[in-house]
Amino acid sequence: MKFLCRKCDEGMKLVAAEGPEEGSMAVTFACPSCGNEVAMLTNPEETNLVRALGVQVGGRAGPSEPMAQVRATLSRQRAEAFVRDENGPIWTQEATERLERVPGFARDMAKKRYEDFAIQRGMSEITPQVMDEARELLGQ
Amino acid sequence: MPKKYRDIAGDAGSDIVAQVVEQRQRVRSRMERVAHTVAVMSGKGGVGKSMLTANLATALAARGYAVGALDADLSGPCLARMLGAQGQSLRTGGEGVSPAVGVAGVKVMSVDLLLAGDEAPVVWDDLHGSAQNSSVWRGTMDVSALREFLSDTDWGELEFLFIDLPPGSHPFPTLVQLLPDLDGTIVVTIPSDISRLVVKKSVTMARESKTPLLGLVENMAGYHCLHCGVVGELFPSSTGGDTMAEDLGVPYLGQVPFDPRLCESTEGGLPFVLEHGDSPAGKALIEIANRIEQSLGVS
Repeated sequence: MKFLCRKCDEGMKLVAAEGPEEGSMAVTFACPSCGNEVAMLTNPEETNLVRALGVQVGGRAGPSEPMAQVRATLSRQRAEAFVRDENGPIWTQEATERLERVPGFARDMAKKRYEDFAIQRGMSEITPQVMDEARELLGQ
Repeated sequence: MPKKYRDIAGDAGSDIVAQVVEQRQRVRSRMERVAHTVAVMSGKGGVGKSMLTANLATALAARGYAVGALDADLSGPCLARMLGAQGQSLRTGGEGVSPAVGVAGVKVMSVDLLLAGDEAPVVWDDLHGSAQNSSVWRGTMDVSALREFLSDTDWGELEFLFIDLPPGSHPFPTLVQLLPDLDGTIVVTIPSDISRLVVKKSVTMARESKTPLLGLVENMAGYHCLHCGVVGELFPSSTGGDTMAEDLGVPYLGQVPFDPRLCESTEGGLPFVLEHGDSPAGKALIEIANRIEQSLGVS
């Protein structure tokens, strides 16, 4: 959408995007020639349409977080669905050897489940004891 | 004559176009590490599309390929469960969101991994609760969610990424808009006349999108009796899927007989091909995986 100053026949430029407040955004454009300003006021449906597109009027300050929209808007999310972890817990030698005994087709999946268990409990290291706890709790 | 829209250069500072372009670039960048993207679509629902996706992904992963499976069916997500990945957490880090890991190491992304329980439908909260029932809001958010699953999941290097679409032909154009370089589409039907009638629409949609059609799979083509071992007819009055494929001008990837154990394995999170690869249905699924490899020039 663009705004045209009919008096000057010039495209107007964005000067401010405010809100949303009570579901409405106020997006102000000004004519570069005469300075006349127009504010476009959105209703909640229009505001949500912009939001649903995953864009911000006037641009973003920085790159968006991964899956920002899904995480911000999905209702009834599981509390532990997302966990922040850059590197994952460390596996001890004994735990690694024990993991190697898991059948190949299930090993990656088992590894993920043990790591999830450890991360959710703030554990930075996976030991055979941690694996035992996980098995008992998760029934694996 | 006053200026028209196209007479005004730029986007007046809204930056919306640039952000949309950046979103698409983000998908493209992520897909650069995926060798082959394959959509799995159907006409009618309930033809076994998700079961097929889970088993094909598993069959190829069991051969050593790096495989991912994206559950694009937001209304009825089930791939995470079928692949044994239900309940896993998704780790966020510098490279994006790490997918769940299912049986045979298949990487899985599904909205089901995010929902609080089996009874929780996908509902998108707006700012004030006024748009939850708006079809425009829901439809746009569904597309945005699919885009984020594609662009923000840290799939890593994959040989295959299967995308399990919702039933029907209408979701397909959305996927093609997000993935214009889609490597192939598999269309799934069953031997019922109604299913075959409707699947023609899906074939037309795939064809008109100018993306490669890998072929047709006919599921539930016969019934494998576990007592006598015979594969009998399940839809007695129907003609063969190979005939249908020929009539449609579509490659025929194969047919899969119904095996009662398919339900058990599907719901239990252990794909059928791993447990019953020697059965008629298991062999059929593995052969279809072979044909997909050949069709895509992989092996």
